[in-house]
Amino acid sequence: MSSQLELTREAEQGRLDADALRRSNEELLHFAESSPMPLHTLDADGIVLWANQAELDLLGCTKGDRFGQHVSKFHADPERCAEMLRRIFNHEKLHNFSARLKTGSGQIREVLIDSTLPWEGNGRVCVQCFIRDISAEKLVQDARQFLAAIVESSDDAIITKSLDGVITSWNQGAERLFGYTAGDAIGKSVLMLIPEDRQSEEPNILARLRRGERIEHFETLRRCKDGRLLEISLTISPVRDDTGKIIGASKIARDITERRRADVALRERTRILESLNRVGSTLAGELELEKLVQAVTDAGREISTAEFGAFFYNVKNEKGESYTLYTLSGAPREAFSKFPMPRNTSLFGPTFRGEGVIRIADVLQDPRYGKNSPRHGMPEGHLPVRSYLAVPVISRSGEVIGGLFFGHSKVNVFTEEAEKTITAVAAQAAIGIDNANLYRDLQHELSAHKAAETALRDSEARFRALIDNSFLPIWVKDCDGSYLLINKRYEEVFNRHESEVIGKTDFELQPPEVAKEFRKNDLTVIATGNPLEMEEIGFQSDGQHIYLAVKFPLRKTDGSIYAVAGICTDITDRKRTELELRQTRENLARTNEDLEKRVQERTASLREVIAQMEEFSYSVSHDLRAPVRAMKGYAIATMEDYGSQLDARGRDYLDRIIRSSKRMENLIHDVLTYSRLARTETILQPVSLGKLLQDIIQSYPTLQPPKAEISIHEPLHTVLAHEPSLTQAISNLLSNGVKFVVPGTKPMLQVWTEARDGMVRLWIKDNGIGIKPEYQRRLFGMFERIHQDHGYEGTGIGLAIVRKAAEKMGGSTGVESDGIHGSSFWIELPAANKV
Amino acid sequence: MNDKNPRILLVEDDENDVFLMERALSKANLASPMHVAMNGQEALDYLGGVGKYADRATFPMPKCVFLDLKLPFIHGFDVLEWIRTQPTLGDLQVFVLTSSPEERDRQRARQLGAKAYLVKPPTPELLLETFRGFPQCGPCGGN
Repeated sequence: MSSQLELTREAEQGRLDADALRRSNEELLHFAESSPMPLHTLDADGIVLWANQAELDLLGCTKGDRFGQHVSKFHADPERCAEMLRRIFNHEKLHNFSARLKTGSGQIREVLIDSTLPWEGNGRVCVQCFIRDISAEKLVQDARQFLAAIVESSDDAIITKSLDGVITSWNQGAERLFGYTAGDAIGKSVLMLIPEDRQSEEPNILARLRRGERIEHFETLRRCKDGRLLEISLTISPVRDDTGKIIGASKIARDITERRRADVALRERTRILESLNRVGSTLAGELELEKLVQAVTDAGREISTAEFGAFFYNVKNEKGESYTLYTLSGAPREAFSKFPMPRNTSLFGPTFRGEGVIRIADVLQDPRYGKNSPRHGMPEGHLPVRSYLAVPVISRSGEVIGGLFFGHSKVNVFTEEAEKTITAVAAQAAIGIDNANLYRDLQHELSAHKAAETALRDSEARFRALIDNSFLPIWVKDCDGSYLLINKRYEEVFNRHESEVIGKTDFELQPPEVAKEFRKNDLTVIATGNPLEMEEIGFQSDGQHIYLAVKFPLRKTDGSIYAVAGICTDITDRKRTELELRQTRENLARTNEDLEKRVQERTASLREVIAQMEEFSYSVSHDLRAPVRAMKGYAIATMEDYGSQLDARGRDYLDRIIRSSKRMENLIHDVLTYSRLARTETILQPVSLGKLLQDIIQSYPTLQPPKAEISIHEPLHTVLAHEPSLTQAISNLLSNGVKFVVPGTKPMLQVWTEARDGMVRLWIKDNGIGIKPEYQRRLFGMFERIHQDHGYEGTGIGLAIVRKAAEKMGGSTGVESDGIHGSSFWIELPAANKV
Repeated sequence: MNDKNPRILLVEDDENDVFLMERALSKANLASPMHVAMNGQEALDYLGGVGKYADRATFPMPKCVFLDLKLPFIHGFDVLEWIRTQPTLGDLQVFVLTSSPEERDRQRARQLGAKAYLVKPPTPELLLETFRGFPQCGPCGGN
């Protein structure tokens, strides 16, 4: 480049050809301007006179930023810049002066600066500076240094080798691992590290490397300088030159001896833990004692690596007597069955007493072995035991459940680790056995419980069926009023599904005032503990219903009330009917009352009438008779005292007065008799007709001989009659019978009775004048006289009295006559039972 | 009528009946002195010895009474009842003499202690019959 500048100078100085010079100058300027190397011109004050585009690009600035500005403006280190200027203007030609520039955007650029010597041009001292940006190179260099440091300081052995296996580098890690120094190793074959029996590995590795493969975590053995074999893990990568050609390999080796040892320990530990875990879950899950102890024995043998194991454990029978069972592992049961149970020997005793673990490397050498009679050692045929491990199994309550015994025919088999693990297993086993015992007890309880439960369920099912089949709605509510149960009928009646009711209270199902009433009644039942029967009003989809409900408390076994049950009957219809009935009854009662009142009034007025009638009769009997009696009395007295002084006509007149007054007396008598009969209360009693007839005949001389003859045809029936009335009636009939005869004829009467269908008819047949049939109907009327008054005295009332009397006694009367041959009068009355 | 020793007291308000009674007695030859009380009150006064009846010489205590029932002021049954309450009249025989043939009157009279129940008109036969049952009452007469 300096040659180019010299050319420029020559051109200026030569002035040979102005055009050529100008052209040359322009070419130079164009060259400088377009040079990819950043360059600039400084004056003696360090001011940048000019800079090319490459420099402006490097610094990320414009011409304005650079031209006429001090060069230090884009230097990161002012002191370095000052040194540079001092050295330039001290006439030093700089070469590879390192500096750090700061770009317009603040980036730092590592650069190397070259300069010309100061020279005079256009009357001023100038210098040209050339800048090389070495930032990228610097980075690579730094990285390489950094990597080398890493390699050097790495714990891992890092080695490089050529494809023919010659070691080309060797770090401190390699030195530490293998014992050789870098000086020892570089230039030697890697085979020196490979044990004899693994020499074949190397060609293999190299072959793979040549194919460009990377080998990772290849675990192998290597020998170090002192001859020890190391377990190492190798990672081998091909190393390529810039063109990608494989020129060697890097090898990272790590000592994994420790790790391998740890791995083995870990695997062992894992195995034990797995066993323990398996045992643990078996123990936790296995509740059958026999299976459990077998699992414990098997697990113990596995963990301890014993050849055989046994678990002797105590159980109690139902009587509470203790005895010992055992399980075996690794030996058939026959191997032990011929031996008795282990005794409390000095070897076994401590285990059965729970005094701790006994681990013996060689039992034959142990002082406790062979101390007990009679055998002093293992019985003949016993499995050969050298290593011995015995662990007591102790329950939570401190009771020794049994012992785990393990044996091995080799000495020194059982490690401390195994002992610890077996101890843990024993503890687990104890818990398991405790649980199994508990479980067994529980099973007994459970089966009893289950039987009870089944019975209960059955009875509940029956109960449920009963409830569901009930024709009446049934429900159960808890003490808070929530429905616990309803039956099918309830669902039907209230048109609500169980799911809509259960868990709800009446306040969610019924109008508030109804729910309030329900709740009040429920609470009464809860408070009193007594059943309650009441009418309740509830609502169904079709409106208000009335229920007759019986509520009663449900009690727990301790007597406390936990629910209220209810059964109800819909009595809406009944109530309606009742109401209607009541109204009807009330109406009826009112009507009855009215009627009663009317009857009473009527009765009262009737009584009054009767009383008046009686008064009338009384008056008649007293007062009406008195004048007649006086008339008759005076007429008779006149006849007696003065009859002799009268002529025949006078006496006839007096006689007529006397007869008329007598007739008047008779009339009054008969009318009174009739009216008395009509109002007399007739109480019927059995009356013997025979005796009655005799009495009547006795009291009427006209019925007796010689005036009349009455034949009574015995036997006569007994009738039900009112005796005074019957006497009156029969008297009248007999009187009539003897009265109405042809004059001069002696009355002859026949009397008999005839039974007629529950009635008795008394016949009185006379030999009188008879009654023509056409008159017979009128015969029993009042004041009916069918005979003209030619000598037949009569009032016309006698037969009316007979009829009235017969009718009053529930009977009747009548006559049969042809009007010529006498008459047959009869009176019929109810028959008494006796004849 | 006011005989000196009346043995019969007739309580009767009807003069006709008094006539018939006297006639019957006389026809029966029972000429017993008889005093007639015309109403119930007079009967009580006579029997109780009230007023002028205190003079037993003039108005001696009768042996028997023929008593009508239908009387003015005081009814025959009331008289009968009163007599029963008088201790001094324990021996007095009362015969009811009435127009009433009514059974209820007959029973009532019997209950109140009447010794006979006679339906008018009295006849000599009836009176004789009656006195036959009670000889101490007569015929006593003045003979």
